[in-house]
Amino acid sequence: MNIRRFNQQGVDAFREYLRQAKLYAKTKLPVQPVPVELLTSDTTSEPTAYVMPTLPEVFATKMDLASFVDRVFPRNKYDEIRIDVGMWTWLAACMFDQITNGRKKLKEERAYVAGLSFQEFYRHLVLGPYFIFFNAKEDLSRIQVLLYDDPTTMNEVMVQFGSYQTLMQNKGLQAVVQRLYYDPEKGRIKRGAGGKEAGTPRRLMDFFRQIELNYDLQSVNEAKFWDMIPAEFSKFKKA
Amino acid sequence: MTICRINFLKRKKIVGNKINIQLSVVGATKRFSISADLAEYAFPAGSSIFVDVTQSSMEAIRFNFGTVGSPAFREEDISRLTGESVVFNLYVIDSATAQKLGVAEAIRIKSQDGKLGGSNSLLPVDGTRELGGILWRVDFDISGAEGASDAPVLRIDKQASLNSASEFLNSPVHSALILPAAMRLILAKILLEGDAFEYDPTSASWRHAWVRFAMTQTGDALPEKNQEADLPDWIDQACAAFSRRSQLHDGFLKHIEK
Repeated sequence: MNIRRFNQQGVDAFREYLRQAKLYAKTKLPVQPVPVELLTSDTTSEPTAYVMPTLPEVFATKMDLASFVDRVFPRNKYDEIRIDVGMWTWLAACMFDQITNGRKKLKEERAYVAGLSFQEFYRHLVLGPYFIFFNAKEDLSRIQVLLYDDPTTMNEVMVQFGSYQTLMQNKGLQAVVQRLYYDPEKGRIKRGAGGKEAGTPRRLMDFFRQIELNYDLQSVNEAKFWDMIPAEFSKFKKA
Repeated sequence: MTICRINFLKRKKIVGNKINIQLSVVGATKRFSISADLAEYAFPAGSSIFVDVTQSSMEAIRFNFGTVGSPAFREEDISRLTGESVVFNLYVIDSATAQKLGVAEAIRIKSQDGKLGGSNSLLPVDGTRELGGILWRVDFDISGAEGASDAPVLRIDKQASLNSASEFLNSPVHSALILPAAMRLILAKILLEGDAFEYDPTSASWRHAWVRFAMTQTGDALPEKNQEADLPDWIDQACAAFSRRSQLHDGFLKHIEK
């Protein structure tokens, strides 16, 4: 089957499905799968040139999901596909079971209906991981902290930095966030990194925004960032 | 109240008339050219000149235009940025320390006919999205001066605007119905929501720029701090003054008389 692209009618119908699904979930009733007609009908979508491989039943991590999606598209088509919101929304509908743990974990609409602003796209559970993966492909180790967990939700680091354009395009900054908050032994974010206290991602975001007034963060390399981070982050620097 | 600003790092604000950006849009191809006269700022010759071009979508594109001593201004393609609300920021950076020595943010651009264009106005417009059944709305989600990421953009439904929001707003009916209402929404967000707003006449941020614009429409300063109850009336008067001064009301009446 070819990957398809929702038209407005398809997006509206998917939105309605999501609304119903949330109502069912709220009343503890089983949520029905996304209707096959919604995914395949020519009245709600049109085919793209890309072939959909067989979907695994689950993706253990966002990294796995992003890697799967990345294999579907030729590298030189990135500029074209990254803004195809109808296609990303269709992909979320097609992979709905994988990104909702079998329709058990339902998030807000923007997790499934794609938007292009930098405050929206990263919250989409297919486009967000793919975008991060694609742009860090040559060294995926620096974005594990963003994509290490299951594809149904957003971790605290992703919530804090996802909408920060500067980080999303800055390898040095990504490497610092990875070093600060990722525990490679446990394969997850460090203990305490999900809070609001001193040294947490929330505070690091405040720090970046503050120094950005006087420093061009794109011109700062990883080593310099590391030295610039104030003492309140020492707990995570040492850990 | 005047706010005293302390600039420890001596970062210089580059004024807009020292920079000339021309944007040309032909079909899906979008290119810009830039030149800047930085002589009066006396930046070190080795400082780098960068221009960041952003838009309300996922990415910003950075261009390196050489150094202050040896600038390499040229035309560049930015077709990959979709939408109409393109924002240009120019930075002069100390290459050794990464400090910002000079900054010009949210630079006004000139369209091909040499007039000030709408792509980087106080209220950028965007007609590239479907709005799910409504014709227009104001979103607060694009980048603006002083590092803001919540500046307003007027979005017109893609189908209704036929992909060109500025064309859509050329209609006297559309502009008369939408623009004063959009202005009201924005001023209400600035002045009636959240913490009390303190106007800073030197700030280039979108909030201060909007209040400055509203003051030029009414000719009245903002109500004093202890007279917040007057703010809704002040906003109404500013929007009405804008509509009159821009002849939106008259334009609408003339149009329906035809």
